[in-house]
Amino acid sequence: MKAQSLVSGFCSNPTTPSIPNTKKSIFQAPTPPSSAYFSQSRKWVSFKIQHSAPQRVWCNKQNGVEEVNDGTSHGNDLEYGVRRKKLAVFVSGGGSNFRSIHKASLGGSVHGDIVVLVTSKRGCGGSVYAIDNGIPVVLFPKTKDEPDGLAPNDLVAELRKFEVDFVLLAGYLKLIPVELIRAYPRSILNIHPSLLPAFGGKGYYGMKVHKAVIASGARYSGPTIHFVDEHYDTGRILAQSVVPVLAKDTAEELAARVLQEEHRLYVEVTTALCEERIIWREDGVPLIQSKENPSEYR
Amino acid sequence: SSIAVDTLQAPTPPSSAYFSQSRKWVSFKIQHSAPQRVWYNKQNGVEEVKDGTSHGNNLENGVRRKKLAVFVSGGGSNFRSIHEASLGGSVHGDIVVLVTNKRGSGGSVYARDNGIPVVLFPKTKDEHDGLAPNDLVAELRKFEVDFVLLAGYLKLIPVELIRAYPRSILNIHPSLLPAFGGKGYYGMKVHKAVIASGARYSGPTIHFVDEHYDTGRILAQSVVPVLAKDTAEELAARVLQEEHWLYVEVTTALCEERIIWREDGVPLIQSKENPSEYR
Repeated sequence: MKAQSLVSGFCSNPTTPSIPNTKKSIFQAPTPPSSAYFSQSRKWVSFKIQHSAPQRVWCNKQNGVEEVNDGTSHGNDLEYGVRRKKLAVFVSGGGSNFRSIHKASLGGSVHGDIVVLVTSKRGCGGSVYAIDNGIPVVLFPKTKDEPDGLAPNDLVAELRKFEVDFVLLAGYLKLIPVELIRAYPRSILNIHPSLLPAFGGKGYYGMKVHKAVIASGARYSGPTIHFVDEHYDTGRILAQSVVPVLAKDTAEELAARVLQEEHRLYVEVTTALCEERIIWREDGVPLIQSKENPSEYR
Repeated sequence: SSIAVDTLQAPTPPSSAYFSQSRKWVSFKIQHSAPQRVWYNKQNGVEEVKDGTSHGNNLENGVRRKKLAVFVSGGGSNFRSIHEASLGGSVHGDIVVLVTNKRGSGGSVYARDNGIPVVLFPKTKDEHDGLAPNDLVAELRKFEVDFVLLAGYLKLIPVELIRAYPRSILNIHPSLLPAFGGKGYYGMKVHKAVIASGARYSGPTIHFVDEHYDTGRILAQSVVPVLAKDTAEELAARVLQEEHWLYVEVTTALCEERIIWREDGVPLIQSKENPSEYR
């Protein structure tokens, strides 16, 4: 029975600062709204990794993990060593997840800034909020309805100008062009309002997802955040949260319950992303490293 | 419609080691004509139940003890679990026959050891004593089977059986259907696929079997977490614990006639303590 081993996604990047080994403490995760239904014990598990020096994290080759070479020194506070990230958010509609992440960014829990909003629909709720908050808006893609939209390569160039580190899809209904996926490998996240792979794929968006969940008789649902790769719907799952589906639920009631979890989950994931706490397991599954206890993952 | 929501003190599933699932029951507004009967108001989209038999206060006094057929291909741990619950009294029914496709399977050995007749199905090159579909139906009719419980049965259920037992065949699958279901998804393959996908939750699903096989309506599910360092075997063990608990809970409800069909065709389990609440 082979235990899972880890590869850090940042091991091969020499400019990535290493994360200091913080002392062990009990991780008190903030309680999710779903605790109204469950008390999810946010179970963290430890992986066995070798520590050479207190200020550095080495990934032992024998555990199937690459070695980190990093000469920079760091203080105890994670934020002193980790660069503040630049985020692009893509929306097609109201942008409630966008607003939620933006507030967390202003509030300090997300160690990053939304530097640009990309939308497929001029005048959508998300773009109005962006403009009201001084965030530049880019229209993509170019279509008959939106002739001012950018072409794929121009979109990539624009995001590069903004020095975007990560792309967060938050209710974006158009197809992500392969040029973008190639320009930002392992750097594009999407959120979907069901427990993927269930109720995903073509035609499954918005309220259609929740209607399908109820019609199937499924007793549980919840958001999934996953990386976007060239295979679209099959990108690796990074995080999920569970809510119950009740016997008398309408699609709207279920949608509201899932949306509450979407907001919480996307902020939690974006926080981890900006603090470079996304670690890749050997089989390609991305894990979130605990902030309080770096040897624990979920 | 006004809905009263109570927190029902249900027996705790094993998954409560990870979650404290408040088994939330919800009320539908239904008209009660007499204390001993439950009527469902058509306006809520629920079908009317017509039942002429009289019932005492104890449900068991009025409800006939059910006859169950269980189908297994392997060890039969769910079969054994339900059998124990039947002997123990929590399941208001008896397993009257075991059907297996593999002579000498663990499940068939346990059946023989416990005086339960064993039927071989289907007929194949490897098992030439196996029955033909119509003979299987005839055999189950002889046993006066009310419900068929598939518990790790790997062969296809013949359409003759499905037509003979509409809304009476249940199956258990070790993932949260519709995820990780369909052709090729059985046993350890399911758990490996769950882990490989990065899914953070899994758990058993019990569903009715209709002519469309994998798309029968879901009757019950239970959730367990998938941990970052889980092997397929560890996840399988965690799900199996929930399978046993869930199949006993569902079979109990089935035998007590507490499966109610919502207007859109989704089956619900009616609370025993509070017949106006469902999940």
